[in-house]
Amino acid sequence: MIVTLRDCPENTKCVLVDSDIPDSLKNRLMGMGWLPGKMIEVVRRAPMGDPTIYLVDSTKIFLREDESQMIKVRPIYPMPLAVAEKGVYKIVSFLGGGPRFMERAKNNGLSIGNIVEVISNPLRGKIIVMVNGREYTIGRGFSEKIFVEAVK
Amino acid sequence: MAKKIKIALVGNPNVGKTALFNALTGSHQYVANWPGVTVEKKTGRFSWKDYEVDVVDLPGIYTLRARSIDERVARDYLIQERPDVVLDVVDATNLSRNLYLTIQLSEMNLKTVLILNQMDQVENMDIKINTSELSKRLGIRVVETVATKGVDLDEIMEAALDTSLSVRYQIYPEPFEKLVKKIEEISKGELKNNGIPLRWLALSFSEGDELAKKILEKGGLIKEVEKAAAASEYQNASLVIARSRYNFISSTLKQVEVRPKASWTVTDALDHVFTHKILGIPIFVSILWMMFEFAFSSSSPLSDLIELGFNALGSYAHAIPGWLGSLIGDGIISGVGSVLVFVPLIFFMFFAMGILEDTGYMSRAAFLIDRLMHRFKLSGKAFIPMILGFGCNASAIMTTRTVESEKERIISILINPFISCSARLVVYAVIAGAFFGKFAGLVIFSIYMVSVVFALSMAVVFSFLLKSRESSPLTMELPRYQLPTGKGLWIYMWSRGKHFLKKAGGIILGATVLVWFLSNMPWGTSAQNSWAADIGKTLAPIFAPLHFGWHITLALLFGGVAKEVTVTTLGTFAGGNLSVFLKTVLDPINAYALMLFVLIYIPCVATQAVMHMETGSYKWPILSVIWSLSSAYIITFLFETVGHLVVRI
Ligand SMILES: Nc1nc2c(ncn2[C@@H]2O[C@H](COP(=O)(O)OP(=O)(O)OP(=O)(O)O)[C@@H](O)[C@H]2O)c(=O)[nH]1
Ligand SMILES: [Mg+2]
Repeated sequence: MIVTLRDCPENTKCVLVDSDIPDSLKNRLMGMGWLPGKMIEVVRRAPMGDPTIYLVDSTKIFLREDESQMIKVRPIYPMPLAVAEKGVYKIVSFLGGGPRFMERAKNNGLSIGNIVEVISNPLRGKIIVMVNGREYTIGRGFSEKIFVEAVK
Repeated sequence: MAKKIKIALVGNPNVGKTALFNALTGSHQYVANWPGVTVEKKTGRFSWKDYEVDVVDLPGIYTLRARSIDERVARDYLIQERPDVVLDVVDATNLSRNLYLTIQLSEMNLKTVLILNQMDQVENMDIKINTSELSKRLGIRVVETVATKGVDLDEIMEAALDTSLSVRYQIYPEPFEKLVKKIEEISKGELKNNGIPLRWLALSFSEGDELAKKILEKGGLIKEVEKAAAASEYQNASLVIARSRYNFISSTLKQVEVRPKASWTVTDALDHVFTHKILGIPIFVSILWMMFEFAFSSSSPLSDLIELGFNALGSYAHAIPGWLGSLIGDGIISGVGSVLVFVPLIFFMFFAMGILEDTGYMSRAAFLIDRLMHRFKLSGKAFIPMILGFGCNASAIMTTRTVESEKERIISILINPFISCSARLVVYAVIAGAFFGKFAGLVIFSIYMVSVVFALSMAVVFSFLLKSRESSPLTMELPRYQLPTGKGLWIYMWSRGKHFLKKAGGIILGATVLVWFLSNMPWGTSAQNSWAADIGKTLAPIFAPLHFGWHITLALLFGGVAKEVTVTTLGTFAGGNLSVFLKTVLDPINAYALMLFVLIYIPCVATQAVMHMETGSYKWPILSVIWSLSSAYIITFLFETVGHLVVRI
């Protein structure tokens, strides 16, 4: 799925897609090595939710929401459920995983190795998934911590 | 006759150009670990064998397409001045990004030598670079350096004078190369004599660069060139160009560079803490607090010592009969001395700031605080000048050149004087020391809080008045962390603190002697009936609502020259004991009000001059003076009124 860089939570890895970023920004990014096809890693969001640090090659730069919203990317596996499009996935890892998190995961039928089907993912707001034939609604913050891979 | 040669240092921001400049010329230009330190071109000179070498240090650039002022300085220099040799300084740990500019430089037809700087880091990170292969593939000479540890002049100069190699990249797809040739052909007749590099012109035009367009327009060629471009399949070739360049770079690097697999570095670990969602901001605030705390507590024993010294000197001086004793005792020692006592404080303050700047924390702080700045219609880039303003507003205002949007830059310039500089720290230290005893540190910190809050609020007001819509796009690099070197810190502290000493010996001394003279004229009268008193008393009614007497009025008047003069002026009247004297003319509320007034009331002469220079008009410094005077008056008045009411109750 093609999403904007802004939609990608921390620890997502994604590939830059050719898109129509305004010229001034585009040129600056290109000079820093941000070319279509390059891998971007979302490193850290600032305390107040903006800006965000990204890693390309070995350079860390930070961008604001306004700019990252204009940049189109394709997340690669394993990706957080938060940016997974409709389809069937296998859960490969959790990020974090304190006891409360694990408890919640279990209540939603989510555990490593399980198969989930994403029914709908509006990128803003809650995600609806199907696990073991039951539907669950998952909050965004939670979905950012569940990493999945595609099922062949 | 010595042969003359002109060398320019060009490269990405923060790669070590200025460090190399210092190594080459033996000067002490400003080096720090964040991108955008150098914002103007700096010239230096050295001689080597029978050569006279002029070296120019330029601001860092990522590409030749410039938007902010500092970038334009670098680009324009390359186009207009055409240096004989360009030393393209790169961070050797990050070749793939750095070489992009290298390619652009060769397209400008500039003789380039590649300087692989930070080779010590390359070793640390276990990266292997085959330098001779790199040189062969690029067709330019390559020299390895560690600029912070000194350089091998012979090697660099031999490379710079070597003409045996020549570049000819064939990196663009054939059909596009045809278009480029065609544009070169078209512009040849008209522009050849201007010395404009045609290949650069053709490529930049294809990238959509405004400067290239303007040049073509001036030559009356734009129509023809646009037609040629329209006939080809490359209406907007910026992507093709960038991709070809990077393909070339990555195929080159495959042959010359071996990097170990990326692993968790010290920088990553530190960033994990310093940019942490919850801990990040508390850490930032504590770091600032620690800076002040460090400066105060480590300087106070030294300051006490100096004060003792001056007291002793003062009593000797007063023993000298006649006007000379008075001049030395009251004017110089009691006046200028009251400022010199704080030399250690200023130096330690700069020491702390040097640590902040050289570790790499600066851009992290900008990252943490950007959201907040955004709310005040500023960007993270405008934040760095604010922090630097704690040292000196005049030099901080220069760094606003990196702010891209012109309006945002003007706003950053206008609010900077409200950030409390180290000169004002002297004033606070004297007043708070006299009135608030144990709580002096806290009181001073509160003034700093007021300073930041006031500056930010003014940013909102100014951006409303100037109709500045949005802050400019922000792409800021986070450099590696590093341990500051003792030598680096020493140079930083000394070169900044030196200004303070110079000021003390120059403008402050001058103003103080003038005040002493005025306070003793007509000769032999008491201070009460002197000319100084006349001036003070004439103006005092203006300040009567603020409960400032004529001494204070006079001090504020002369403090407009340099803030420290406020203290030295009062010192002239104090007869050796400033804090006792202050208590006779102020109460604690007055005292705090005076600190507020000094914080806001007027940018010093040096700052006004820089404002004029950086904006190119008198409008902004004048506005700044009027604005700060009136807001200082209003705020102080409100504070006094409320303060005295509360205390009476
Ligand atoms: N380890 C190491 N650090 C270096 C070397 N050269 C420079 N540095 C450090 O890199 C940082 C940047 O150096 P500067 O000389 O200010 O860089 P610049 O290229 O002039 O930067 P701008 O003026 O911002 O464009 C400083 O903290 C230097 O101490 C080097 O060879 N090795
Ligand atoms: Mg520099």
